[in-house]
Amino acid sequence: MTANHKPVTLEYVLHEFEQCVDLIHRNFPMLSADMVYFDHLIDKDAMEREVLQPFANVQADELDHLLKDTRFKPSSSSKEIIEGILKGDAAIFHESSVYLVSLYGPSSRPIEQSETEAVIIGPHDAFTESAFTNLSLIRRKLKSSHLKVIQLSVGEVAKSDVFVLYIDGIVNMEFVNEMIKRIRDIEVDIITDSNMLVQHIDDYPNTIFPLFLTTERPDLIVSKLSGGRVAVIMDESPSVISGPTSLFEFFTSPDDYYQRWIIGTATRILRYIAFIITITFTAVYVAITTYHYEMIPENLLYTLIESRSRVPFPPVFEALLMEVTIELLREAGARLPSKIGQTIGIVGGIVIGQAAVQAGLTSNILIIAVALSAIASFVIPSYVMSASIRFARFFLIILAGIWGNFGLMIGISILVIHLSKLTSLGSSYISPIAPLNFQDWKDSFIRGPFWMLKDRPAQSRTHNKVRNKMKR
Amino acid sequence: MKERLYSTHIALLVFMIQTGVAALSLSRKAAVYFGTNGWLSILILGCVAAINIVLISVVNRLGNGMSVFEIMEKSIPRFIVIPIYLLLAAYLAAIGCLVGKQYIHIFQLIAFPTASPLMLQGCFDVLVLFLVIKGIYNISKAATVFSFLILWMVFLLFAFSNDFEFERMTPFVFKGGRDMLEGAVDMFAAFVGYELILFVMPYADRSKKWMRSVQIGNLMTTLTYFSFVFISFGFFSLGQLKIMIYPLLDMLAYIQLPFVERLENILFSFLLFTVVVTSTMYTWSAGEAVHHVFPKANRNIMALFIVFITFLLSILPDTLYKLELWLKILSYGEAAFSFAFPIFLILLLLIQGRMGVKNRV
Repeated sequence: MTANHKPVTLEYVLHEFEQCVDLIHRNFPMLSADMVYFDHLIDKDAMEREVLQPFANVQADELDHLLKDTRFKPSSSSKEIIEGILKGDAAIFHESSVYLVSLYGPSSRPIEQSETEAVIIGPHDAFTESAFTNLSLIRRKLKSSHLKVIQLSVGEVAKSDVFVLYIDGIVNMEFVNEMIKRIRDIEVDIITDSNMLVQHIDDYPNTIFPLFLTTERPDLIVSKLSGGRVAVIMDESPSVISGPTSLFEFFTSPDDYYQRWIIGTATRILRYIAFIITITFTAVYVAITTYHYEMIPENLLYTLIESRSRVPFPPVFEALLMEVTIELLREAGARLPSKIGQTIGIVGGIVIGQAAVQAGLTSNILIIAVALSAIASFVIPSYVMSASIRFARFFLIILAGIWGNFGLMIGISILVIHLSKLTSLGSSYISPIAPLNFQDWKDSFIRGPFWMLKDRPAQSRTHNKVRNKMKR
Repeated sequence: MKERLYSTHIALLVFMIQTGVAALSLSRKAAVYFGTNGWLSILILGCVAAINIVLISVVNRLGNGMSVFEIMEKSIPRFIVIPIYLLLAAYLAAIGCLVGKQYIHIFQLIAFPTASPLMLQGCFDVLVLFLVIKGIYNISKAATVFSFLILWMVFLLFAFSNDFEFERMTPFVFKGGRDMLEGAVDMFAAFVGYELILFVMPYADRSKKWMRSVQIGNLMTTLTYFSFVFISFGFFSLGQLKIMIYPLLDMLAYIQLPFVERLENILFSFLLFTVVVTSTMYTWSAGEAVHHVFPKANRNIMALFIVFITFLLSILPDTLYKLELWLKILSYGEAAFSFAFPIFLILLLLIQGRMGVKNRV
């Protein structure tokens, strides 16, 4: 007889949870019943309402009748009972039967504003660590019976709940099945966050670019779902995954849709300019000051030479020195409490910036280039993407230091070739450029007016293409 | 979820294979060989290329999308086909590497007179290898992105609107030129590259649209060349054009912005994108030919081998003059190949069709 089919006894369960001091074992001698649960996983009010009060109002001979209520789920599998207790159920042992009653309700963080994806206008609520709160946030915005939720579990030890969400009739089921397959195939003991989960399900593990969008904003996930994409919520993680994803999605923000379309478009174009500045500005400085002085007009040349004349290093070392300093400041600022973080800003900005120039370690113009590209990198709404682009920048600076413009172009070519290869859930990562789809440019490079945004993105390969039939 | 080669990709791929370093000297060649109003020759050559593409589309239609290797193997015994494939591979790979080498040489001329060309060439070849091993679908995707990175350069032509003068044009057509036929073949080298689409046929989606895309790609190339050459005929005088090595570069050098000048330096760097695609497609086609000789060999290792051999080959021509001479000879061959090969395939297909009918009877 296997462990699952043994008659489950209280002793067996207590033995299984031996040395778990947080386990509560309550005895009801009048009713000859026992109850086992984790106090911190259950909702105390629900316990009072669903179990303690009804138990107080019945006699021993009436308990059998009470336990026939649907909230008490009979179970004979030891595995099910142990998993139930771990998931916030209370196990009630009466005579030879065992019942599970769901009382899950641990204390959790209230719904707050997202710190990494702050908004100026638009809904301010952000996902929390509780998957059910997150599901509720989505359902509140998407009141449709077509919104389907599939529950899975990941982690051989942790057994974290994962929910796959999609809108039936809009999504291409190939993506849903692929997503479910990839999550089921994960063989790992523990996954603690959806940003970690993403790395187990993405198409290319050895790329610096994020292949799935993760966000803390419910409005963004709702718009992705209605665009025919699949969402994945992981319990105990405030980030929700959406896929398939395109590189250009990381440059859009829900705020674009809350503004007039012309302003939204201008903001979006600004982000692409920021992307170009982040990735090339310092590298171009290095290329020009190392090899191509002839490209600088005469008037500017005097300023540049004066600024560079005291610097004893080649431009590439000078640039790398400052770029590493900026990264140190950023990392230190991110780790420290906000009050001390401000001090870091002052130390970095004034002390290091000005002192480095006065000491003759760097040139003024380089400080401007490095600072501008650092600021530009923070314009990109996704922190994960911003980090990837900043990393790629180092690679271009080094190549520009070796071969000037040629190196820079070699670097850009390598990036383009690399990006062309990438896929997200099997669909091209650089959609709508390749496969080329000009229709989708209206909602990726610009934010077209709503009457123009008629179709769902081609990347989602939906059979239900029409999003709105709005006339001008 | 199998990827397909979409028709828009084919158009941009053809455009990217065709355009290249040859564009830089096209105005000079048009002036030297065709003389006055030499820019008209670009349109003529574009039409010749379009006719050639019609021949390729006949191969596609008759062969019903069959690969060129299948067509050949159906009629010719394998012991004859293998040397043909090897020759084809060597020839295509040589063109691919020399095109890259020419770019490196000109780059050296402009910006890096002291750098080792071997190192630059090595770096370029690694890039080509990096792209070749990604396969044709990813090559076409990368070519699409690259094309957007260089297509914007067409707008630079507006920078010359003030200095373009119709007075430099004359009502005389093709006067003051020499060796027009030889020149036409020489200039045609700037248009070839579309014939590689013969090797791409089995990978394209089966709609009839894609042959039209090849024509669109050729049209894009023709119009781009035409606009540059036409503007340079109105920008420089005929006499000037005849003595400039790379009139396009000289023209671009004229553009000045408040914060940057000598733009030809950076603009020439952008040409790397199209040269990489050209070189990659030739190397990939060579790889396809070799794959049919050694069907069981690993494609990536084969690509590495081809790129390594071509790297060694590219060491031989050590000056730009020698290199351009080599390329001239190869491009004559290529012009002949681009017409003769489709005609040869059409003949094979017609014979196969007749044999098939006979067999059925």
